[in-house]
This record gives sequence, C-alpha cells and structure tokens, in this order.
Amino acid sequence: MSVLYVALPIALLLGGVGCLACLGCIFTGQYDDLESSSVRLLVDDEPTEKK
Amino acid sequence: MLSTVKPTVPCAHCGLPTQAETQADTVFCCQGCRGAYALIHQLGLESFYGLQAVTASQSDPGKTKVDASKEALARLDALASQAAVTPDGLCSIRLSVDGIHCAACAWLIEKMQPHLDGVQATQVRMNDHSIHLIYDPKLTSLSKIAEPLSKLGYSLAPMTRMEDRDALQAARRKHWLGIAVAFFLAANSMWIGIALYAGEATGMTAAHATFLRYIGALLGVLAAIFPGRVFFETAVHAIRTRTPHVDIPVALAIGVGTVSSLISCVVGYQHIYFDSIASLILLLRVGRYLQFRAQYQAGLSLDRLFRWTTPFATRINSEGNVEPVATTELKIGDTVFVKAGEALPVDGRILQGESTLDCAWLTGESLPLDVREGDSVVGGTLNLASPLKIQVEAVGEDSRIGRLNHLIRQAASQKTPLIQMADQVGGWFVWVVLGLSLVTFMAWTIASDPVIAARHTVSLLTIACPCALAIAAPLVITVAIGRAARCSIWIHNGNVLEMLAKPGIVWFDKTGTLTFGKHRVIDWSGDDEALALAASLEIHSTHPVAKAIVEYATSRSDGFHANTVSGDYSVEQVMGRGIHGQVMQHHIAIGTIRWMQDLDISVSSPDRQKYQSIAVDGNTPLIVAIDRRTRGVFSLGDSLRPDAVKLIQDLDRRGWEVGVLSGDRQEVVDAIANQLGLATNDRTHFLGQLTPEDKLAIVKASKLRNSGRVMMIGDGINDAASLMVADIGIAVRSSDDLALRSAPVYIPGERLAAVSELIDASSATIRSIYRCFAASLIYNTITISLAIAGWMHPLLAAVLMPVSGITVLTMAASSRSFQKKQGIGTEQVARLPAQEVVQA
Repeated sequence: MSVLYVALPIALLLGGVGCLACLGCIFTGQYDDLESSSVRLLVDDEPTEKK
Repeated sequence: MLSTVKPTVPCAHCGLPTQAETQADTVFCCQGCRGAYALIHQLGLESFYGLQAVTASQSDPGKTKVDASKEALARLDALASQAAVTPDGLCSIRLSVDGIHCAACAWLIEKMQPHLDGVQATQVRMNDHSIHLIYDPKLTSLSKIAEPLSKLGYSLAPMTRMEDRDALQAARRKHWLGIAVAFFLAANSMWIGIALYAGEATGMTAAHATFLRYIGALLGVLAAIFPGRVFFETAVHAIRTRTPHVDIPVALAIGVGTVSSLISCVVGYQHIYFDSIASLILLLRVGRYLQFRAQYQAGLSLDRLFRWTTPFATRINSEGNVEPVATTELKIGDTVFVKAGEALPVDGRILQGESTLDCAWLTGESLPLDVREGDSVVGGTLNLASPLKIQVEAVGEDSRIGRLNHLIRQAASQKTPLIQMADQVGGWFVWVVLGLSLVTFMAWTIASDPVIAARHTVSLLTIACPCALAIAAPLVITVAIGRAARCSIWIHNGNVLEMLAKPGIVWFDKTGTLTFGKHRVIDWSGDDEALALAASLEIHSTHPVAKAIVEYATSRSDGFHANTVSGDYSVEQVMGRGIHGQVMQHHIAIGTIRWMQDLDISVSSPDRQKYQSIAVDGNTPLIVAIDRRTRGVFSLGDSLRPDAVKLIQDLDRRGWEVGVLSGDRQEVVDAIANQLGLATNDRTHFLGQLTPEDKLAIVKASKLRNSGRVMMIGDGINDAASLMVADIGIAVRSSDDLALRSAPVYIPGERLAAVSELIDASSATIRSIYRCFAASLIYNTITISLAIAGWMHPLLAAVLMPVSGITVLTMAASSRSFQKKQGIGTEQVARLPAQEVVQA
C-alpha cells in the first residue's frame, strides 16, 4: 500500500489540529486586543535576586 | 517692555512644553507630573520613560485631570458590589481607566501590581481602555488600589455597557474564524493541486491521482460550505431583492465549480478546480474583513463618546447622611449634593444653593450661567462656584444626555450605507460576466458537448476574478487611513475618503473651531491708567472675563504687572451685572450699563455710544468707571482663527457650501459671517442660539438635500451628536475631550488646514481605486476572452488567479494619498494621538 494513503490523512489531521487550536484562540478572545501584547514584548524581565 | 524669553523644555514626565530657566533643567508642568515622576522612580519603574519614547508614535496629547481626593476615591468602593467573586474568594472586576496615552502607560499600570497589596492581577486592555482587576477584598479595596494609580495620573471609573460593542466584537471574531478556516483549506487544497499538476506532467498512477482528487474535492466542498457560505447567503438575498451584487458571480463560480469538481471526481475526469475555488474564497474573505475593519472604528466611537458623563454621585439619604453611589443607581426624587468643581450627575431642580454652571457641553460657550434655588439644571454641566443640593428629576434614558444619546443612535442606524464604488462597478461587472458565461455555455454546447462547455464556463467564471473588486477598494482605504495617521489625521471611518469626493455642504461650529474660543479683549477705548486700575480690580476675580482683562492689561500696558498689585482691597461681584470694589484708594466699577445704573454712576455720552456700537457689532461691551466717573469701554469678543479663514476660502473655491452653527447669539454669528466675507442674507446657513439637539436636527435635515456629502466640523461635546450624524464628522483641536478623539475623523492640534489635506487625499484615494479597477478590468477582459475561446489551460487559470490578487495589492499599496511632505513639525507634535482601535 502506498505511503500516500497514510501520510496524506495524517498531514491533514495535524494541520486540522493546528487550525482548531487557532479557532479556539479566536473564540476565547485572545485576539481581541493586539496592542498590549505587542508592547509587553518590549519589557525586560526584572533581574532575579541572587540567592 | 522687554523680558528675556524663557526656553520651553518638555516636562520630564508628560512631555508638554514647560517654561524653564535654562535648556538643561528637569522641569515639570504641574505638581501631578512631579509627583508621578517621583513615585515612578521610587518604585524603580524608570523603564517607563524609555518605553514612552519608543511608543511615542502611538500616544495621546494632553493630560487628563485626575481627582485624587479621598472622597473621590472612596466612591469607587461603591462599585465593589458589581465585582464577580472567584472561587478562591477574590474579587474580579473590569473598570474603565482614564489617562492611558500609550502602551507605556499600560505597561506602567501592570507593573504596579506587585506594589499593590492584595492585588493579584492587573491586566490592561488598550483597545477599550479598561483594566481587569483581581484583588482580595479582605486585604484591600478599590479606593486603596486607585490611590497610587491616581498619583500616576490614571483614574478609574465604572465600565460602560454597550451592546453594540459586543456585537461588533462578535462580528470581528466571525471574520477571523472564517479567514482561519479558509486559509487552512486553501493552503492544503493548493498543495494537493500542485501534486496533481505535477503528476500530470511527470506521470502518476491513476489510483493516486484519484485519491488526491477526492481529498482535494473534499477540501473544496468544505471551503464552500463553511467560509464560503457567506457568499451564498448574500447572493440569495441580492437575487431576492433584485440588486446586482458582486457576490452573485462569486456564489455561482463557487457553486458550479464545486459541483463540477465533484462530478469530475466521480466520473474520473481530469481537470478540477477546487484549489482555485478555495483560494478565491480565502481572498474574498480577507477583502470582506478589510472592508469591515475600515468601518469598525466608527461603531466603537459611539461608546467612547459618552464616557464623559459622571459615573458617581453623592446622595443624601433620608437620615441626612452622605453616601457615594454610582450614578446608575439614582432614582427620581433622590437628593444629590454637588460640590464646586464637580459635574452634575443628573437632571434636576435646585433645592438649596446658588452657583454658576459651565454649560459648555450644551452651548459650546464658556460664559457661566447663574443658577439659584428652584432653577432646573441639566446633567453634565460643571458646577463652578458653590455647592448645590439638587433633587433628581430625570435619570438614564430620560435625562437630557440620555435622550441625546438616543437621538444619535437612531440617526446613526438610519445612515444609508454608502453604496461603495466597488459595489457599483461590481454590479455592472456581474451582469456582464453572467451574460458571457451563458453565451459561452450555449456556444460550446452547440460547438461540441456540454461537458466541455461546462469546463470552459467554469474556467471563465473562475478567471473572471472579482478579487480585485473585492479587495482593491478596502485595501486602498486601509492604506490611506494608515498614511493619514502619520500626518496626524485620525480616521475612524474609512467611508469618509470616498464621501469627500464631491463637494457638498460643510457646517462649522463657531466657538473654538472657527474662533479661538476664549474671551479676549479686542479693544479698550480709555487710557492706560484706567486700564491698569481696572486690571488691578479684576485680578481678584476668577471669572473668565476678568482673566481676559488682566491678560490684556499685562500684555499691553507698560506699567501693569500682576505682582505689583498690593495693598488692601475689597471686591464685590454680582453675577450677570459686574464687579466693583476698592483698590489702591480708588473706587472701581466694571460692568454693564445696568450695573452702572445700579451703582448710580452716570455714563458719559461718548461711552454710551461706544457701548451700543460694540453690542451691535456682536461683541460684549463693559464700562469701566473709576471713582464714579466712566473712563472707557472694553470690547470683549472672540477672534477668528487665521487658518479658519484660509480653510473656508479653500472650501469655497472647491465648491462647498459653508454654514455656521452656534450656541451663541445670532448677532455674533452674523458678525462672524461678515468677517468671513460670506453672504449674511442667507439665513439658512448662519444660525445661532442652537442647542445640541437643534444642531443635530439641522445636520440631519441637510443630509436630505445633500445626500452623502454633509461635513460637520466641531470641537466640543455639544457638537458630538451632529458629528456622529453627519456623513463626514471631523473633530478638531480638543485634546481635553477624550470623547471627541473617537469621532469619525479627529484632527488634533490647531491644524484646520488638515481638512484640505483630507479632501486632497480623498481624491487621490479614489483615483487609486479607479486605477485598480481599470487594471482589473483590462486583465479580466483579456483572460475572459481567452477562456471563452477555449484557450485557457486550467493550470494557467489556477496561476493567474492569485497573480491578479497580488497585482491589485501592489497597486493599492502604491496609491498616492497622503504623501508625507517635509515631515511633521516635531516640536509641535511631541505626542500623536492614540491609535486606539486600529488593530488587525
């Protein structure tokens, strides 16, 4: 049996999972505010205390 | 009188220009900024200033006044009842936060969280300026949380509810969902399609080819069913209402393509088009989303516009105790207490107290209104002088503000959606394509057989790409909006660019827009000594007229300085009449003629004549009497901005009708019309004594005469309603009114000339859209001819489809609207207004 019959559905499945994850993110409102997240990137973490 | 000019240096905290001794000083423009700077350094959050510099292109001019008094903060605790309780007993609440100018502010507020006891989380949402707080009610309270925030310049208030906002949010999410699914399906069907074409070229087993075709067809069908369903719905609706719509051939192409692909699959025929169909659907969904986005901002404006109403009130309950409540909880018959400096929370009647109110939001004028016991007052006005006890007469939807709000929503919903150019051209395009496809089908059926005819018809429908029409216009507009922002013109509703194409009628608000909005002394008919004495009396009053006189005296007189006035004085001020008192051994009286009569001072004849002539000119006269002898008359008025005159001349030249709407007296409006050189006998265009409701009605009425081309330019809250209702509403100048920053178009600073720039940009935008259409039509003509003739190879069709999309994208990006000139003056625009809601 050709690899294609297995590989193609699996590939689609993997892609589909990714797509569903994306849909989940959109649905729960993670994309509603894109400004603050883009700025949080600029913030450095506070230096951790040396113990 | 010479004085060394002090250099202006930006305030170390907020950046507004401040006078300093030398260029190198660290200065603060106010105590608030000084305090905030100190606190930020104390907490070790100096990175704030670095961030501020980085995000400078997205920040807000102006500062908001924060009421940090204990009572104001204590009121926030009244909101605690609205907080949700989490399973671990913490309170979770979303509040509106005022004073966020840029992303650095959001960072700062969030960074405060470790320094606030009992607060588990602070999350700022910039698109609606809200903050989500999770805190432990046992350890802290909202007022305690608000205190350090207010020191930094941010004030908390209850969140406004808005159903429209939620609906828009939901619509936006649906767009994204559609695009995400369409992208997944298009990408996958495309690589399957590539595999198939490669197989054709180099040889592939029939079994494999069939398998790939079936999977591909499945993806195509899914694309048609899920992201593609919108087009079918619109097409069916358009057919029912007999309007030509771009979606009709789209739906046809998708439908026929999908069905024939399925048939080919089953029959084993070679060429199927599921990849073209899936990508078509993707491109169209993106186009729709861009269109939605350009208009999305306009919808949110309505919410922000009315956030300025006071959220809190001080109620006096039956025992006579004072309690802070949210304004929404007040009922008719309640008694509220309004301090000096606060805005009235509701409409009502004064039970006790006498004061003056600033009715700027109603009339646009800054001269205060005197009120006393028994007078009816309107919510939203600012109490200036002394405390008042008011009995609530109307709340919520029934109050003046509520009804105005309702009128706006009504007018906004009746707005005829602009039949965008894209749809007009698209409609014509539709019929042509449909006709051609019918002809093609019949011709080829006769010439050979229906299968081949179907194939050619499908390739015609596929290649007759409405993509350009779907994407070009919204794309060009989106690009123009982005460019406009860089020129300091903030467009929240993309439609305005198309609407400015042809001249219509433009209504100007008078005070503050055409004029400077401040009372200034235009002329003084007496001598310098009398002027100096008059000013030395007016120094003791806080009335705007007094300030104007003092300013005039300081700038003009050679001997008058504010700090040379010393010694004992006595002052008496009677609202609406004048002021008199004893200063430096002289008795000075300033006021109206009536005031002079009251004081038994006879007015000399020349002064009396001067008084009348000033009034007739539309200005405000004030007589000055020193030691009971009249010495001269002040003429107070408001002067026209020079750039207003230029703008009006420019608009006139372009063919726009000009009108002026004002809350001020009719004579003043007529005087302005004269100064502008516009015909004053045209009664319909120059109107005074208008309430916000009147302005709204006039703008609405003019829309009937000039559909799609009514522009309104204003600067105050009292124009807000008409700004929203006009086809093109432009808010200018006011950096104090947060609300107006959400108007359809917002031009900060003193740049009326930007309106001309906007009109130029509008023509450039339309020309660009036409270019895209022209290119698209030429392209389509060629490819359609090829398809009809049967020369369109399916591979070619599949490739050419995205190519047309890319061509359009490139053309749109190269449109010439808002070409930046020599760069924005950096001194004037240290901060540009917030790019509040512009998100992908």
